Amino acid sequence: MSARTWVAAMWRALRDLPPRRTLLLGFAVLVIYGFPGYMSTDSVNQLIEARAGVLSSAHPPIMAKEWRFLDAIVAGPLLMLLVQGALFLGGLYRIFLRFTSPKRAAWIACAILVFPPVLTTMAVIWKDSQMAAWLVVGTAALLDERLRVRCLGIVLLIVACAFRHNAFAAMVPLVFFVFEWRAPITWLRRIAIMGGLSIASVVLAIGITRVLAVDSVRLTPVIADVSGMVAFAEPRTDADLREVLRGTGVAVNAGIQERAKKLYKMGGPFRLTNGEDRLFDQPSTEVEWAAFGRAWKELFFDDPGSYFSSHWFLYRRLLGLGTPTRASVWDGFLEDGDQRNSVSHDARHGGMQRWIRDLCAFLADHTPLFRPWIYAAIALLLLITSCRSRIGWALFTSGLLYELTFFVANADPDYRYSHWMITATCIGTVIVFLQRWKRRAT
Amino acid sequence: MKLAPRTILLGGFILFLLCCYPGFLQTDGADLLVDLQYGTITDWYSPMFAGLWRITDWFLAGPAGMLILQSGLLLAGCFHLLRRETDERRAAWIAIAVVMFPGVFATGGLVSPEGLLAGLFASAAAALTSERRGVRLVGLGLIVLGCGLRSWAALAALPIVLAWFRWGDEAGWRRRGIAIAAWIGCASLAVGINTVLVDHESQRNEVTLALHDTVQTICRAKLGDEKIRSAVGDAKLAPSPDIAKRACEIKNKSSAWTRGDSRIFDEPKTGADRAALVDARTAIAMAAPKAFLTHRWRVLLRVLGVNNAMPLYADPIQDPKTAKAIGHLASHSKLQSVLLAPMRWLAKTPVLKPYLYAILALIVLVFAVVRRNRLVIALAASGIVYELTVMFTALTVQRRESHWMMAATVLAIGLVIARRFWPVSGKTPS
Repeated sequence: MSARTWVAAMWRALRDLPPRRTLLLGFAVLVIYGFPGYMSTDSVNQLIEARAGVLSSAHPPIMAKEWRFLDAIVAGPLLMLLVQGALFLGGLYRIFLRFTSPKRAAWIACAILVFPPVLTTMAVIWKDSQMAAWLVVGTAALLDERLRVRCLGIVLLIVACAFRHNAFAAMVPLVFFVFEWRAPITWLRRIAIMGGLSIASVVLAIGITRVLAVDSVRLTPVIADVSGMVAFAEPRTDADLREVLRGTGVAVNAGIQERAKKLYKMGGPFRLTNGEDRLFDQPSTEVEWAAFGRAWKELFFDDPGSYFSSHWFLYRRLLGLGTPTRASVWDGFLEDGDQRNSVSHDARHGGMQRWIRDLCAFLADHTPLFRPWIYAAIALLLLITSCRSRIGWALFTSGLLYELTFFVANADPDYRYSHWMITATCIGTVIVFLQRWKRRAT
Repeated sequence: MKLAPRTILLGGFILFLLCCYPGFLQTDGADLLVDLQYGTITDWYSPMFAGLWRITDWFLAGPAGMLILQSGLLLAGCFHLLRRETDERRAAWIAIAVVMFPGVFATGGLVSPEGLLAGLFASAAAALTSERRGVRLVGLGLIVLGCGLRSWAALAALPIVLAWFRWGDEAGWRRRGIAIAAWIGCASLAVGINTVLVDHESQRNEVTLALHDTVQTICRAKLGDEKIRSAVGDAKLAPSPDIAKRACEIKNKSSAWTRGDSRIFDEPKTGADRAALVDARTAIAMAAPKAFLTHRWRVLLRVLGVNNAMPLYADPIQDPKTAKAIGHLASHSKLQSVLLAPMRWLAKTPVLKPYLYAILALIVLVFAVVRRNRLVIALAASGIVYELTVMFTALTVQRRESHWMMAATVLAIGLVIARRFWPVSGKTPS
């Protein structure tokens, strides 16, 4: 058999593959790449919380609950990987089934799942990947013809909202543009339903976290904001800064602004209140927190530009403008060897896993494929040019709004934070393309 | 609601994996995981097993890939064999019952050459019964892999190949002749592959077995120094006198066989020394055949668990301290603990003792001979022959040594039951 005949035979075999087998193939790639599930310290902490049953609000309690249930069946991260992968792939397939044939839908779903910028995060047990999976499956349900399935879609999106504090920004556009109570629906009614559902969803998502969390942790960007505003303000004296920062527990004797600049540019909010070089002592009383609140207001109203400059400084890194984003290809089973005994779990890479990882790492290092700003630009462009695609609009807006929340959150420039925007852009782009193609064909 | 055979098999397979994921490991498994990381294959353990594990490890690192392979092969083999006797749905249910049967399950979750051998032989038997020559040749390929997993495993493959392999439409002695030729080819190929795969040769197992048997036989036969010295030939005996007395003193202390004042032999350092020790085992066995056979018979009785307890393989890893070195650590889930609880209880009863299955194998063999059930004869005979090879090759007293005999017996009983109670008319009698 010549090479050409062999390739032709392979092509025929792949082309004739039933959708279910195609989906299995795509799922196998995810499992082989991620087996038995990558974890960072965040993931390990959640697994420990899940096993102990003492849930804090530092991480989404719903994820710990989910993990607790799955960990009781198979110990470790494997089932989490399988669940998030299956929800994501199944959801993608159902979405594309609305726009094309089952065979094509299966291939497109697999292509998006194994697309390196999507795959690398989907293989890690993070709230970001779980949220993406639930959002995708929720969107798929919203597109269903049956009302009860569409209502179930709302529930799935609420669950997705409970996975991240800012997930409501991703959910609202999906509900607004996609959800239909009874078609056709007027815009006024749509806005009313969207408003009601959005508020209910956010309240429910917060409620879920409140109900499940035993130990409440204060999650606020105020310390990072204050440090950022100090760092990016016009040069100020120590005495001046001490006056503004009174009661906050400044841990520096001299050169406050210099220290703030250094720590802020290094990244990692934990550095601001931990270690010998910290800027502040960790606030523990309400008075200290109130002092931070007051300092925030004074600094912001004194020099609003410093707020935006400091946030833009991190945000442009999050978008991958200039520098690559952090940890775009996460390949650790444990971040620290000491965690091995804490979770009674460890794993190492298989040959094929290494091969895919190296390929992804190469793409991340040498191509712009992992730069989120590109997807933001595509989403913006398609948002303008494809007004007629309601689902496209929903996805692009969902991704962009979600990404924008990180400007306020002043988060570390981790790649995973842009994962939903990238995923939503990929799905939206394919749908817009399919819709145009269909229109042209008819 | 009637479940499809594929659904039944998938459900049963998932249940099995839930019980055993990611696969239980003993010291040899942990050692092999270290070797896999360094990319070396030694002859400490089966090179064929190490080679196959290297392949599964490429796709899924750690024991999970091998667990899926060995249990998947066993399940598929059982299902395809049972499908010959009954309808597909019942075949699927019985196949699940065979794999989950305590005697089979007890070692099925252990990632080991024995576990894989059972899977390979069962699926090879199924493939050899096929009407298509290509599939039968695949069956021979599986036999080659199985033969390479344990020393003398080829003998256990003989009944299967002899009963079923045919090249074309030939019959009678011509078919048997071709089958025997194919079997010889498989056994030779397995030996060749094992030789090629080994990066570092140490003959550790052969030397340990030789020392064990020699010391035990010398003690049991009370051979005189002169006779021993003349029998062992080039093997380097320690100069001290009263060899038989010393052998009895240290017979259960393997570390003292070649070390210390009471040692019987000097430490073998070269390939020639090792070869001489291996030859000495044969020579001593020939010099005192009764003592040798008594000793090996006692080993077999212990392997069969006649008078000794046998622990259950249920630890994801035997020594968690080695986790860093082997790059693998796992623990039981709550569900797994619940599912394994009955097995822990059964481990204290004779249900998991190999001798029970050895007796059943003999009964089934007789029954199958009377009924002229070729498939059951082949499986039962294979299991019995395998156990007889264990008599001469076993170094450790563990249930896993008898795994193929236990699995083959349970499968053979499943085939008998299927044919007796739920036969399918129109099926080709085996």
